[in-house]
Amino acid sequence: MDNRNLNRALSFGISDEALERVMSYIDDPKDRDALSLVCRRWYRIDAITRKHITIALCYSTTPDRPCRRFPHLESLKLKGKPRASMFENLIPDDWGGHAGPWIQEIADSFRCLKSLHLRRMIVTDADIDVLVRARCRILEALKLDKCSGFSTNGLLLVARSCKCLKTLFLEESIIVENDADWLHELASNNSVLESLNFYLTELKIVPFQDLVLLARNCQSLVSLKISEGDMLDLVGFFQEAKMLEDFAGGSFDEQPGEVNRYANVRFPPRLCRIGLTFMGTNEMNIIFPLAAALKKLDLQLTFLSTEDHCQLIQQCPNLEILEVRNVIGDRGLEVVARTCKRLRRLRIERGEDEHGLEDEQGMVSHRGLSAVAQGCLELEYLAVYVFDITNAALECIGTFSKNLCDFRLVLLEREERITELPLDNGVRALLRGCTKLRRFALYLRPGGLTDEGLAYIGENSRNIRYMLLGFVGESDRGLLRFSTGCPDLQKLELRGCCFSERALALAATQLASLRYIWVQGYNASPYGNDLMVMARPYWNIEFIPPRQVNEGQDEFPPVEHPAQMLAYYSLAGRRTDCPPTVIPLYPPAA
Amino acid sequence: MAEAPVELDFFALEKRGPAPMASRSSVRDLQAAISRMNPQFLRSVITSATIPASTPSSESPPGTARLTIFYNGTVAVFDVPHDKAEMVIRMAAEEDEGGILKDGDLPHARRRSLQRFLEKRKERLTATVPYAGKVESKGLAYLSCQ
Repeated sequence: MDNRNLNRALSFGISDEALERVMSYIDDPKDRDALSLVCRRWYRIDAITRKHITIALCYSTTPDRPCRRFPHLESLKLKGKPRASMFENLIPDDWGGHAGPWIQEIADSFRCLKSLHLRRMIVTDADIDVLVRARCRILEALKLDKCSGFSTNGLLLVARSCKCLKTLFLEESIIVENDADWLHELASNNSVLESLNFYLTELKIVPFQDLVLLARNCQSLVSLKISEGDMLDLVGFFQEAKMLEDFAGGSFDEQPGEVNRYANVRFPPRLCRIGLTFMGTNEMNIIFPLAAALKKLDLQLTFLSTEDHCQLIQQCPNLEILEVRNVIGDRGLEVVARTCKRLRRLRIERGEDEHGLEDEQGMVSHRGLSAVAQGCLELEYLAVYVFDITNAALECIGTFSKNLCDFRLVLLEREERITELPLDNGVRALLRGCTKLRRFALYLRPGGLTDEGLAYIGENSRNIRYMLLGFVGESDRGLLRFSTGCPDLQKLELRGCCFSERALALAATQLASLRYIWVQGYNASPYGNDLMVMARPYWNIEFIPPRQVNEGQDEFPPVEHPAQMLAYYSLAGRRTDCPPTVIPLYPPAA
Repeated sequence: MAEAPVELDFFALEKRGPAPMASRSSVRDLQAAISRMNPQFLRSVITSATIPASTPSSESPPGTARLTIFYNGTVAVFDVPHDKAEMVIRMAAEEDEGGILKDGDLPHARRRSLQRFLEKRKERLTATVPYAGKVESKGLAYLSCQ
């Protein structure tokens, strides 16, 4: 059948209007992608009905393209710097991800845009000014997520003009602090705010009276996450914010000799998601009244011991999300397994490495993992730093965690001897058992996974779209076998590889769905020459030569960072805004 | 700029002891050397690295010196500036370790937010108990309950 007959046959009897209605129920980007490829008519209707897009790397296209294709876009999410920039000293601060050109396009053309989410990008006050001037009347959500380059002056512009703003999210952004006028303006001008987040920013001035004003004016305020500020100063706010369900931040500062300093802190009745910074054993009891109803608990930034974790968590049977450091220990995880039957997400972060600074019971291993797998059958997300691991624990996860979509395991360096390595069989069992897995990270050490194990990953990763692999495999052979599998793998991050540059480049060309690859620590040639093996149309290749980085401590010499490679599909061609540390290798300069 | 020709003797035909640049440098040392180079310079080297060959009988152009390479029974002569000679020699001296990057070369990176928290925590610990040795296994409860 030729194109026209196919067109008619598929759309026969269905008007454009009807198609539009039907398509508006379809949100999943992969489904939308499939729709748009059926025929020209469906492509057109998808284009005019698409409400949201996520551009995983801002350099993969130029701003005008999505604008031309999706004229009625209401929501845009853009990501800039590589994920590694969330970690200390890996990505140069000036790497790129400038929001300017995008914001200009939004101001000029994206007339329906109500929601903008910029993640790991550089945004200036001038950019914010452009955005606000153009879109203040309809902007409902602004998320500057792990961004940098702006100050409280920019926030003031937003607070003054964006009266429809329901969400202002600034978490973990680096913000130059001049004053707190923006918060005062926000509290005074806005009456529809639902969520305000400046958690994990270093903003020092938190005007608590303005928070009380905010709570009074914004009856729909459901979520507040702040930087540090004594919990006692929040008593007034908690009294006013009757609809609050979600709180994080604050600080505790118990002085010696002062007992029950925080006894008067009363949380709003609906509060069911909480994370309290610097909370210690003696203050823990302020959470007890909430415990039974708690759905989310973040203890990553607390000063609690293993025993404290046990005592607190055993009171929380309704917990769905738990985030802790590994001080929770295997013992704490056994309590989780017994108590938190509804648990969907569990994150166990890396605590202090130095001996003596963290609770000695705070070690997470295969024992705790197996317990959680068997006890928490609803688990969808599991990210964990372990001191020790066995194949059996991974097999256990494969057997019980049938809902797992996202699994990340990092084996810490502290113990020299690990109970059982390599983890080939365990990894295979996990991948075979967890059929819904979409995201997978495995960070081990030399000997942790053989070439055979790496091949297993390739063979058993049917739906996985993102992977981070560290210190896996033994040789190029393992990598090349891996790369003949992983049919859906779109984004790959590798660290600490024994692979040659040539093999990496070959692997990148073999992975069928790959559109983004980042590697640090491999057998790099001095100038990235062998990377050219993967040179092909629309494929950008960038190289960051080894650098010396001052870790900020004078007594230590600068640390040497191995070379990095980044490659990605792009319609925009070679980047024109690379800093001196980033060398674009392909395509060649025009 | 060196005026004297630089010679590499791969087969130790002339046993004079180790030649200056023939010391076995590991990948790590090489990377260390590169990391001290100016990124702008490095960029220009990568984008324009060419080693022009010249006939043995002609004079070296100004600013360059003769680089003579004996390899596998053949001789190759080049006129290169000092920096390019260094580059060639380094590439030749590089070994394929064929092996695994050592753990020590690439420590686990920490999330920034968590790093800041742990630093603040350390400050608090040392502020309250400046002369303490090991923290008891009860954790910080010991420190804060006075």
